[in-house]
Amino acid sequence: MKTLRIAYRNICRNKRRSLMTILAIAVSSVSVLLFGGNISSIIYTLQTGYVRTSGHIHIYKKGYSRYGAANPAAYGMEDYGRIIKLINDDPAVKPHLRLVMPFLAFQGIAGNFTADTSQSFFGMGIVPSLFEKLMVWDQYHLKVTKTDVSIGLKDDDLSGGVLGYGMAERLNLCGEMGLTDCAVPPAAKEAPGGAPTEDFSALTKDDFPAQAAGGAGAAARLDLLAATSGGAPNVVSVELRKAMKMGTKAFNEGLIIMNLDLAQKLVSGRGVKKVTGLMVQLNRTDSTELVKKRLEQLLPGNDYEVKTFGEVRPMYGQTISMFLTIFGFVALIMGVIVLFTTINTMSMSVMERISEIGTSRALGLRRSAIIGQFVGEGFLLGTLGSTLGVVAALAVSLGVNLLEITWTPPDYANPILLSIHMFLQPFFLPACWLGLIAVATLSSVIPARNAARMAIVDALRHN
Amino acid sequence: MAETEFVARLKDVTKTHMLDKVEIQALKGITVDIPRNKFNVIIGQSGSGKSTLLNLLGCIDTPTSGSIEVCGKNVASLSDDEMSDFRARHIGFVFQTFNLMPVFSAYENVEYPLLINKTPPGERRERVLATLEKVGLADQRDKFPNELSGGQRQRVAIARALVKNPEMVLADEPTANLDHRTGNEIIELMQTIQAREKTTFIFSSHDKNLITNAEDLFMIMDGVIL
Repeated sequence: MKTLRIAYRNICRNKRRSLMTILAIAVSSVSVLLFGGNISSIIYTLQTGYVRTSGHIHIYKKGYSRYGAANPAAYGMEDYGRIIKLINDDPAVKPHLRLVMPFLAFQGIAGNFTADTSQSFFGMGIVPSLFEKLMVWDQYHLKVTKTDVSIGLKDDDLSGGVLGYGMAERLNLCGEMGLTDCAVPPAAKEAPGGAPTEDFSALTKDDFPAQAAGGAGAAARLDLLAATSGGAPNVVSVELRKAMKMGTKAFNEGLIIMNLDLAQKLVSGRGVKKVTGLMVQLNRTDSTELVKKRLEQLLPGNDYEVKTFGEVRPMYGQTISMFLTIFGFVALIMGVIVLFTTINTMSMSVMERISEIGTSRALGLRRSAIIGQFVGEGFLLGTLGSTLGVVAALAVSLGVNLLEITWTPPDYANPILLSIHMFLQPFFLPACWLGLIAVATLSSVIPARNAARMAIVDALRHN
Repeated sequence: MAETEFVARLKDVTKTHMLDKVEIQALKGITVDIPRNKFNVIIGQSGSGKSTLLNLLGCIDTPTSGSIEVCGKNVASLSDDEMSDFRARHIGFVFQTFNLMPVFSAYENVEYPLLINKTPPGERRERVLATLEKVGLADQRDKFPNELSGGQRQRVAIARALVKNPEMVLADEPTANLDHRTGNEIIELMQTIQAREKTTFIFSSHDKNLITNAEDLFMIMDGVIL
């Protein structure tokens, strides 16, 4: 305590220099904390986005992840009902489990023949009630976007679908769907030969006679063409309930979500109903590996493969690695700034107090105690600077989070909230605080050792 | 430590140091015994080697050759830490330029050697107050060095040297930075304390007043005791 009191008085001797050092440490601290807090926010937002749209774990038929994209029919799961029950009833998985949902992913062509527009699309068949639950997972209590995430489909709505906002624009559905902030397409020249006299809907009239008839009050709809598992073309009509702003540009401009039954009708026709796989969402991300191991034991290894969301979407891990590398680089630069600032300040302090060092040594103070005095001053400078930095960073992050500033990440269709969360990683803030104190303290060791090594008679002569 | 009649004994002590690339022999084989409990003064011209001799006696420098026994201990064999502990227990210093710690009050400056000695807090306070009383600065104890006059600063320095009850106090030209009247007061003070407490004082000085009050006088010239 006495050492710290003496250290405090010594750093007060040259107030301006000490203040500049404290400010340099504080600015470094603020930079590291804000940048780290923002990266933390991005990583957890990304994780939340992935988990909300695809759960923590995917279960596929063996070989799907390698060969399934080229031949989805061959790698579809038939006995998914049994597997869902198996997972739901397993006592080891149950405490961690939030939901298991079957899904069917496929591709095809969507046509809006009232506007003579069509495009390829990604289709996703889901169970609406489970998907709604999937979409509100929020382990970290993050406010990701300002928009509503509800898809507005019901389990018994067998003809409804939701598409990306961008896709609605491209297919010229804005007017029909009552979308207000759509870009207006320039008037297109009519194709040579004119519009087709009949569209795909003619093929669906047996399945959806009411829709095919059209008429006043009919919902906007798309005709979807896809290949069945047997390779034959098949068509269904989907009534569009909503256009949603989807996360990525690709999804926003090409995804259609629909009831699993409708998707199966399109992909399987009148054949055996299959799904692409199962999405397993857990209460907490940190139990992912544990549950994955359990599921691997539970499911016959030769029939199924169990993948975490990180394995399904390797971009997640790559993004984290990239941000952590950038953060490490920034933290290193800030650490070096603190290191040199403190060394400079402490070296100046030693130079100004050579005579005092000689006097203290003559009075019987050991070399180690001289080192202790100067290291104590470095520690105090580090503590004051780092603490000031933490307080400032907390204030700035609070302001930024309250302002709800938005930004659009690369390849995203819509802006997300710029947020800074320093408490998502419980050790992040204490580690930064202690790290900068440690750097400042260790920086003072070199000048302190120089002070302690001085010959007493030379130091006393220095007046 | 056995009590002898000499507080320090030097035998064939030489001290050579380098000034740039030139070797300077400051002490040339000095053999001298410094009596205990006396008011000893070392006199000599500038560059004669008196400060070097005082440094060796104060164990803040080591000889090039020869042996030095201080307070009955052969100090040449001590490690740096042992030497520090030895100084902390046995030797008090009064410097020409006072060398007070500017961030310490008068009280804290006097307390400093006791902190180094790890004296218990209660005893520390008692001894600091008693010593400040001895040098007539009890009422100035909360003042910082820059709030004190030159004479008062040197009194604080004397109190700092005496507070740990050292076996000897070394004073390197303690009156050189004081006016004549204040210098005399300081000499009187030290004489009084020496007479009362029988502490060994060793001065280096040019001050005639100090020289005339010396019980033992050592004259040094060109690194040799005459």
